[in-house]
Amino acid sequence: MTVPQASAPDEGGQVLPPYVLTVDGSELDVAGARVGDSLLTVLRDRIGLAVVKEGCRRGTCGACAVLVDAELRNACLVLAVTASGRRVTTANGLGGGQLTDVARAMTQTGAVQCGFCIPAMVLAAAALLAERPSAHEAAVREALSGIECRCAGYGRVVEAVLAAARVRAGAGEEA
Amino acid sequence: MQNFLAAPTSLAEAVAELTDAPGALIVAGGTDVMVDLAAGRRRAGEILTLAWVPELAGWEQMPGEARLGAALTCTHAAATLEFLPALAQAAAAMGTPQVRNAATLGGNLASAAGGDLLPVLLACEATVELASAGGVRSLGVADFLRPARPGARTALRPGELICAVRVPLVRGAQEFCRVAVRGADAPAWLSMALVLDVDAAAVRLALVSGGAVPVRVAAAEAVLAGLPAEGPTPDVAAEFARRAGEAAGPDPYRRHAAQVCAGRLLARALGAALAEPGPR
Repeated sequence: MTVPQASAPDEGGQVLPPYVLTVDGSELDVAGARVGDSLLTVLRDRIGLAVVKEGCRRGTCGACAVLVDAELRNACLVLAVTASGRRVTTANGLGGGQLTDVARAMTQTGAVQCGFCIPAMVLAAAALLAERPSAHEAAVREALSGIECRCAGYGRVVEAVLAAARVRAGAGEEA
Repeated sequence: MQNFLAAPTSLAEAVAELTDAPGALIVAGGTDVMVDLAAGRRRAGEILTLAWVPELAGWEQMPGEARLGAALTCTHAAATLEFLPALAQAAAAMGTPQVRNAATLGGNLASAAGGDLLPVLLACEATVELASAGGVRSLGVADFLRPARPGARTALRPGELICAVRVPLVRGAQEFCRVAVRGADAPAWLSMALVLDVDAAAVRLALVSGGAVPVRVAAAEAVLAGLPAEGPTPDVAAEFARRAGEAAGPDPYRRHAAQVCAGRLLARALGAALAEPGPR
């Protein structure tokens, strides 16, 4: 790795040489990133993915949650460069351009008010249902517990995830 | 360290990098360090990431003890450490699901204050392995939590890396509890762990109150020394809990919480001991 002749270090430290991140299935060149950049900074500010929300920047609100491989992580707590070589998935990358079953269920239960927490909620639900397709309510509440909603509340979000889980479980029985 | 980012792919390489740059900021799960960077409490100078060091992940069970890698995450610990039930409970209770996916055993130790895993490691009399160019140094958790110099959080010396924790496997119940304003993602007011060591006829109790340094509660343990086979009388159990309360600091609510938790942990542990009298 060569060291670029960086300008004076500022927030985030020295500028890293360009590196590649795989985000939603696409290999993206990350240029101008700093060594201490979080994955949130890189996804939102350097790549411009507005679907990744910036809330507290201290790992509390969960608004910036993304999948790194199959694992839900707060992007603000991930040293961005450590995500290279892994698959980063935002809410944009689920469902191949279509609404996922969970997202569709959310529109039906009225789970979405301001929408700020919803990308993270959809990802948290996706991570849970990938592992436990017929998760029950306690597991759904636990899986969503790291993402704060400050308007609609959690009831309808949980209802939507459970509805999607029921459909998946039904499909499993038929298969 | 050739430049400002080191991404070693083995423990030996990590130690070599750290020897070259003992002041490097070590990042494992990032749950504390990244917050400090965002808040400007630490500078992103030289960074050493442990993301690609395979030796630090996972755990192995050996005769009489378990060796847990420093990069063992709370999620993994909660799901797999059936033979260390209090540690598994503590790992499942802290943070949020996505924080537990990132947070590591080594990070809990390095951050020192307030970590929910620490009272369990103290009550288990665990040992921390610190790797450096000079080899591996082992320290009991209590000694590890004594700052090496003013301003330090732990006994960690420059150039040293937490690489593993060894936990003795003892016969008897192990219990954990935690008091916080809400279940998910609230720093604990109080975390407490109790280990019943049947073969040593001892009860070991440790707690962390607020962000303070975790402590063993020898005064409470002494009340139960020798572990009477018929179990403690209600008076003895109450004295045990009272002394646990005294160790929780000056705040009346913390003392009350510690007293209640100690009583409950003892009851749970003795209940389990009665239910499972045979060796495990």
